[in-house]
Amino acid sequence: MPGKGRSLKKDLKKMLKGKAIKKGRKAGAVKPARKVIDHDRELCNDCGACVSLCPATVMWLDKRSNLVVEKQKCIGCGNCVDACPRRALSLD
Amino acid sequence: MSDDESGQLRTYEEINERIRSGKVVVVTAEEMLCIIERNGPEDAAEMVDVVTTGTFGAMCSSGAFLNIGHSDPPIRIQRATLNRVPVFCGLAAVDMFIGATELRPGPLGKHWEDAYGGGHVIEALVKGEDVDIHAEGEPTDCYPRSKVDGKVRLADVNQAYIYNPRNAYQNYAVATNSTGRTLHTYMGKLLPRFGNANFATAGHMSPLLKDPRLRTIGIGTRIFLGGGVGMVIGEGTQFNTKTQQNSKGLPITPSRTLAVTGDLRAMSPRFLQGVTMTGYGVSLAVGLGVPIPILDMDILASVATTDADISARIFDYGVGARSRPSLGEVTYEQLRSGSIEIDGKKVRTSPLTSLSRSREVAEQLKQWIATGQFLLSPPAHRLPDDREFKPMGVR
Repeated sequence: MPGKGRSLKKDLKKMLKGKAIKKGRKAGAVKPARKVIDHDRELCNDCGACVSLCPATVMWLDKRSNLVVEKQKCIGCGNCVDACPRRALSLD
Repeated sequence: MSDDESGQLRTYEEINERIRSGKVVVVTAEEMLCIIERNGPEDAAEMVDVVTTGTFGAMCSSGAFLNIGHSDPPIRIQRATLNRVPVFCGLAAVDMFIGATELRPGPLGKHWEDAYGGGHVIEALVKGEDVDIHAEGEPTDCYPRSKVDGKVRLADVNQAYIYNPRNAYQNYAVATNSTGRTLHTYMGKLLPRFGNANFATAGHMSPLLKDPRLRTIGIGTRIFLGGGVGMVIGEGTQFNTKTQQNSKGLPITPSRTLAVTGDLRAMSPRFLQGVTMTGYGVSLAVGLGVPIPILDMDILASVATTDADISARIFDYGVGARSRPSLGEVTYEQLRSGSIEIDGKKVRTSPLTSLSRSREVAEQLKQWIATGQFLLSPPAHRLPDDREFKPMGVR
């Protein structure tokens, strides 16, 4: 029944926002599932193929055209991973 | 320095003499732009003998010839693989050619992270790693053996030389995608609805854009190739002089190319790297640098071109046809800025050529010349100045 489904969804949202989950996150027991980008500097040859693909502008080429990856800003979309010709990017 | 009536500033012989005596003035293409800006073209031409260029990117028409020596009893190899990548054996008994884009057989599906091919084998060889070899041949009276299985490394082989039929493209297309789905191409990942645009030359560092009419580059020109010394052996495949030029006289679409060779054993894995273009295939990223001698003011004018002078056409790779529609023309200065405009929309850009590694190529070549390890060789034969790239003529 559509009405019942909606209420279940609401209940689930309520539960996920619940105090128990918040407490668990603070204590480190519940970790966010999101993965962030890992950049292997040894493999990377600074081509920059990933730069235009990142919606969060996590990576860019600096003045010397070396790739800079600001891992903390990563939203974990993985858009760049399969675009790296050297397989220097992975979600970790 | 000579400055005769013909406008010649110096000869190859004079430059090589200065290299031998340690008096040569050699700078990279980027450093030359600063010198010209600071001192003016006349002073720059008088001051500098040689300008080094460099590029580093995927160059699919690449590969290596190997001679692995004779077994006892000997075998005439007709089919072989290296690290399970098929190699071409239609040559003499133990000669083979490994092509950069040859893929290891097997279903890839969505698992492109497992893609492995000729470019990766060449990188493994140049790293000095053991490579699995499997070879077979029909026994003959002179070659009785039918099978070889084992490992081989670069130090074990007799000859190993890179032979690349097409490298160092003089300019290339800017690729974008108008369709509603992501495309995986040899020009990288192209997001839907003009989500991004990729380009692929080193711009103001690029060898053939710094001597656009190839006055100093021809058969016999010594070059930097893959971290070692190589040589130009002819016009590359798809060599094309009949392309459109911009107002600076520079081609705006893919034009001239070089066929090159060099000893793989003297090369470095820093400048020869296997690469994977997801959904398309594998290739070899090659570092290639050419020294440009400043013989006269015309050559000086060529090396003075900046990213703002070099332009390229934008093509829609969503159109699956040989002649894709052009969506406009942009300069490398715009491409390097991180975004361009297509149909009034701001589109982010990515290079596929590593400018940082291209700079390293030019810098390394400069060091070799400055320390007397690398002499310049004039072309033994000029490359054609009247060559058209024809479409497929199969009937």
